[in-house]
Amino acid sequence: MDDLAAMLELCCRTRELQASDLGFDLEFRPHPSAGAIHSVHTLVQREIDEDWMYYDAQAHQLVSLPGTSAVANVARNAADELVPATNASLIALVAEPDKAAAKYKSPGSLIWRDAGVLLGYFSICAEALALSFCPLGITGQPMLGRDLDEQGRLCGVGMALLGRTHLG
Amino acid sequence: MAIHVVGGFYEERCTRPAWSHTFGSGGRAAAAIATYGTEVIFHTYTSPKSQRYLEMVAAAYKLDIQTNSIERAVAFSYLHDLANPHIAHVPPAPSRAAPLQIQQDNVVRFGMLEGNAIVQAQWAVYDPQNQEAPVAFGANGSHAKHLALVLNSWEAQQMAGLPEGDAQTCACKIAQEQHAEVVIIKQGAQGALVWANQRATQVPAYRTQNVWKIGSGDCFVAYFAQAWMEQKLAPTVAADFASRATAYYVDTKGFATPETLETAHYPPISPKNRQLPVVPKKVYLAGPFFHLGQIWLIEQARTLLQSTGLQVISPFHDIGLGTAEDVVPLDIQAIKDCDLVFAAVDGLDPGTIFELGYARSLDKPVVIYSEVQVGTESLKMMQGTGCEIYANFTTAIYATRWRAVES
Repeated sequence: MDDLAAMLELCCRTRELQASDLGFDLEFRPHPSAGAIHSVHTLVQREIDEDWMYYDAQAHQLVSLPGTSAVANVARNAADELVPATNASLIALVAEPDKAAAKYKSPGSLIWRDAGVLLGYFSICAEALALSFCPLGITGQPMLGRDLDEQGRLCGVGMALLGRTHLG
Repeated sequence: MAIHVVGGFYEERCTRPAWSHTFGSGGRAAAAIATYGTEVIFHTYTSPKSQRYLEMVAAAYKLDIQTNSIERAVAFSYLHDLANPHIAHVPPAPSRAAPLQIQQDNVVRFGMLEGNAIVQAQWAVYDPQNQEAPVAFGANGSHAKHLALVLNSWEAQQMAGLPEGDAQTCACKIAQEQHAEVVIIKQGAQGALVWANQRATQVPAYRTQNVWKIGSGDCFVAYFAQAWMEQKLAPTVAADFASRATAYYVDTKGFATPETLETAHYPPISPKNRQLPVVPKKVYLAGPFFHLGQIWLIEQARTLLQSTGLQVISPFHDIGLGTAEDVVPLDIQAIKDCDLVFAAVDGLDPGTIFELGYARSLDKPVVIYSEVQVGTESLKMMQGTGCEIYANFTTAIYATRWRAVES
C-alpha cells in the first residue's frame, strides 16, 4: 500500500484547486490535463476478488466501489492473458467524457491525450520509486465502460499493472 | 540567498473536507518558499516512515533536507479544518529529541512538539506554535541580529503577560522584551497588526472564494519571511504580501508562484470600524436543533463565530424550547435585533427557512451553509434574494465573519 500511495501521490495527487463555472473545480495535478479538467479517473484493484477502488485525487484517498469485484476480475483476467502478474495491482484509467465536454465541443482526442500522458507519468514515477509498471496496451473496454456504468457515461482508456520486482 | 526553515514535519488528516498529507509547519513553509522561487534548506526530525515521505516532498518542491531521526512522527487529525486537532505521538518533555542547531544567515523557526531548535542567525522569523505556553525566541539560547515574531492574538497576550491586552500594547511590550525588530499579530478578518520602528500599522486580510484553514498560519510566516529576508521588503509591505499570498493558499490549497500571484485578485477586507471599543456585531444563528447531530452543528458554529468576537444569538442557547407563543416572539425580535444571519439549512427545516426569509425581508444579510442542497432547486429563493450560499462549513463561517466586519 505504501508503494501505491507514493505512486499516486507523485503522479496524480491534486496540488491546487481553482474555482470554475463548469460545475466543478479545476485541478492542478503533477500531470497535465486539457483545461485542467482531469476527466480521466484512476481505478485500482489491489488483489483479485477485491472491488475497484477509485482514487480521490483531492483527498488522496482510495474509495472502494462496492459490488464491482466481478467486473474488476474480468479486467484482471484480461490483463493476465497479456502479462501474468497475479500479485500486481491492476490500474485502470476510466474517462468521463461529459466532464471534458463541459468545456470542449469535441473532447474525444483530448481524453486520449490525457490518458496517454497519465500512463507516461505513471511510468516515470514508477522508475523514480523503483517499482515495476507495465501499460497493457488495451483500453479496458467494455469492462471499464458499459460493465461499470450502465448509463454509458464512462469508457475505458487504458490499463496497466503496478508491482514491486523481486529479483533472485 | 537560501532560507533555512526549521520546524515540524507532521502527518495531517482531516475528515471533512477530506485531507491526508504530511507537511507540518516546517514542511509547508519550506514548500511554500521554494515554490515561490527561493532556495530552501529544510531542517526537521523524521521517523523512518516520514523520512521516505519527506524525500518525495523534497523532490517535488526541490528542497534540500537535513534530518534527525526520531521513532514516530507527530500526527494531527482534525474533524474539520476549524476544529481543534487531536495530536498523537507527542513525546513527554523529558524524552524529546536533542535540539537541532542552526547557524545560518536567514532562518525561519517554528516551535516543535518533538524537539527544539537553537538558532544563531542574522535574520530570523519565529513562530512559537505552542498552544499551551508560547516560548520566547531566546529562551533556548537562540539569537538573531534582526528578529521578527509572528503570533496570533492569544499567543501575543500570553507572551506579553497581558491576558486582556490589546494588540498594539502587547506587540510593543514583546518587541522590547525580546529585542524583536518586528512583531506581527494576526487578527483573522481584521488582518494583522505589524509593529515595527516603534509604530503599529494594520495590513488587511483578503477575501477568498474558498477557505481552507489548515496550514494558513504556516504560509503567512513563510511568505513574510521570504519577502522580509530575501526580497528585503519593509515589514509592513512584506506582511501585506504575506497576507495576499496566504489568501492564494487558503483559496486553492496550493502554493503561489510570482506568476500565479500576479494574476490572482483577492479584494482586501475593509473593516468599517477600527476604533476601540468595537461593539460586537450580532449574528442570529438559524438552524434546527431536534437531534444531536443538529445540536452539535449549532454548537460548533456558535463557538467558531464567537471565537472572533461576534455576538451570537442562538435560539437553542439563548431562547430555548417552548410553545409557539413563548419562543416565536423572542426569535422574531432576535432576528430584528441582529446584524446578520448564519443559517444551517441542510434538511430544509421549515422554521429555519422562515427565519432566513424573514431576515431577508428586513434586508439583513444571510449566509447559508448547506452541503446537501447546494446546486439543487431547493435554494433558488435564497439564491434569488441575495443570500450567500456555501457548501463548505469553514468558508461559510469565514464569510459570516467577513460580512460582519465589513457591515
